[in-house]
Amino acid sequence: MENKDNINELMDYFRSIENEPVEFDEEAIYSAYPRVDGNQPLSIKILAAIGGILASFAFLGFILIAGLYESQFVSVLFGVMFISGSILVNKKYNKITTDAIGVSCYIIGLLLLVSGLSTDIELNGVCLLYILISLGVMITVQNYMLSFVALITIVASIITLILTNKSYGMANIYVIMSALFMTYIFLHETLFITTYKRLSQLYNPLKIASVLSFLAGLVLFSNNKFISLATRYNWLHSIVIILFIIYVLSNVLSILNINLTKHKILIFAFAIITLLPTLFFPPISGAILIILISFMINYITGFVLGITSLICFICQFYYDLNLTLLTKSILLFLTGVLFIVSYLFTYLNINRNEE
Amino acid sequence: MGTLYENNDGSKSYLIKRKQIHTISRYSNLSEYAIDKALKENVYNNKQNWQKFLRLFFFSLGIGFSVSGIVLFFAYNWAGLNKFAKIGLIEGLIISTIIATQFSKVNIKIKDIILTGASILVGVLFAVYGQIYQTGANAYDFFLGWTVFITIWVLISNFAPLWLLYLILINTTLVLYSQQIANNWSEVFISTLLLLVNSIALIFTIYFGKERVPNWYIYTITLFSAAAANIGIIIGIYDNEQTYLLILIAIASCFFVLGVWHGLKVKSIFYLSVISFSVIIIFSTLIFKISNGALFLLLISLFIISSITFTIKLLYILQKTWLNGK
Repeated sequence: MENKDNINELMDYFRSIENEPVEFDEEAIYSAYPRVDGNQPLSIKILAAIGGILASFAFLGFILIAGLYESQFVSVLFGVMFISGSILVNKKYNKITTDAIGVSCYIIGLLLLVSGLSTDIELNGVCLLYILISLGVMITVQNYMLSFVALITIVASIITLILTNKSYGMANIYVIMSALFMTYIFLHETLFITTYKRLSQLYNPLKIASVLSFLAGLVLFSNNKFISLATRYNWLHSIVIILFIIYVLSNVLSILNINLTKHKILIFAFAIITLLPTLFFPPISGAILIILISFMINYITGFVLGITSLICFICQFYYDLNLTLLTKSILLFLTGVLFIVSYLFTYLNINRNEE
Repeated sequence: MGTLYENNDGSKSYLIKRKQIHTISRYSNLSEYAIDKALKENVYNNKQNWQKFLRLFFFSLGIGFSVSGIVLFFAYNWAGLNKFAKIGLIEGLIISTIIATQFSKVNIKIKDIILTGASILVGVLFAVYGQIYQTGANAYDFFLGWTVFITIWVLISNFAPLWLLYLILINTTLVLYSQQIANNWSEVFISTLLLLVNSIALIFTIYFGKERVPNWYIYTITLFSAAAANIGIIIGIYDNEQTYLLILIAIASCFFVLGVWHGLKVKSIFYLSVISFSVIIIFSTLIFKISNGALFLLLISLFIISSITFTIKLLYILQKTWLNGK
């Protein structure tokens, strides 16, 4: 069978690159494989997802109309039931429809829980509760969609805590920590997928959730335009991000075989000088960091997110600049010329190196 | 497995996918070194990719910034230009782009993109004309003029995005005409018209397009037509409009039957899923209209769930028979 041949070839490949003898749990690999290849076309997946979501909302509609939400105790009870239901469904089945049902049950369960508890504990408590529940869900179930939604719940709860308590200090820490977290996760893929089996299955949702949390932090806490909590220490975010960029660049330079210290310092200086005007606008360097690390590990989703956010942030930066339209147009044109010059420079250098 | 490709030294190897590495590492005792090596050789980007990326990155940034600078410069001075300069500028751009497509020696794809740019510039020209002379014309006049004037280019171009632009313009013209001139057209009638226009375009594309029509284009038009049919029928069910509703249902049924037949013929799940989803939605709205209580809501939900499950199972079996029959 096609699958078995593929898997045997894969195992041979790994035996050839590993120094010591390797053991494979072949049965488990054979059974996990069909889900890896994913033969279902997109249309069936979308239909299945919609079906699952509608199913859960239908049940929710029935509960709402039957008036069961008016009692607090019943709300909390149903909330807990829905959340446990989502865990059980995902543990037993492994198809797309049940994924969608699991995720919708989880979200509905959280909503019911908060509507039942809202008079007893305040928003802070609710956020903390959500974080605990999501952590528990992530530990028990290793399903991509459900873990992803749980991670997003944790991130959203942390952000809500920071926003409602107007904690400027925590906002700074959030941006820096999310940048650190994201870079660490991206650059240490091997560590994550070889350490624990459960952590390995959480790696993919962790990747996308870390990018989204970093972007959210940039938009909410580093950006003077949007919501409330932009701090006076924007430049600190920029400096930290630029340091991370330099670190990633040093890895990139070793891939490109540029080893002379003189060249390296030139390139770092160029990067710092180009990014210095955006010192008080960290989102731009943040987007560049995302683009670099996504390209490094060939993560297309992150790459596309990075490029899109870079374009949005650059537009916002220039829009907010307090100069006349004439000055802005000249500035844009000169920046463009600068980039074309660097393009020609790298192009010539590459050709020269290959001769 | 992954794709087979040739290395620089002539030997062949497989490009392993990331998911495969993750799965294998979970069920074996491979060391970090081996996984790292596997990832670096098969998944991560190597030196050539980085070089390509950096070149493209700097080049795009450069062009993007320079062009934005030029455009902003014109925007700054726009109010001060006299009307001949404004219209002359745009017309000059259109003429130069068309000359570029006819007489330059670049790749045909780039020529198509330039032609699309010229078609968009025609719209800009009419907009500027309307702004300068304040003719007070209805918006649909603008879209009608734009559509008519790029017809020839669209017909000779065979370029899917340009055809898509053309279809969007035709649809917009129809909708605006119905809103601004023919106020007595009912929504059902408009939907019928839109369905007819889009399905004729679809049939035309499928039967005269040969092999070169890209899939995304056909899927988009199919979605347009199905959406027109669905929205029309749903509005018709609630509006109590008998005559046009029956005509719409007749035409929509022909469209659905044709779609199913075509989908079975070319062995594509897409048409079947779209049509079955539309039918499910229409029947649910029908049940919703005659329902009058909470229990009916439960009935609708059960109907939706069972029909979607049944459809998915059917499509899945079809898909399997097609794959095995190859």
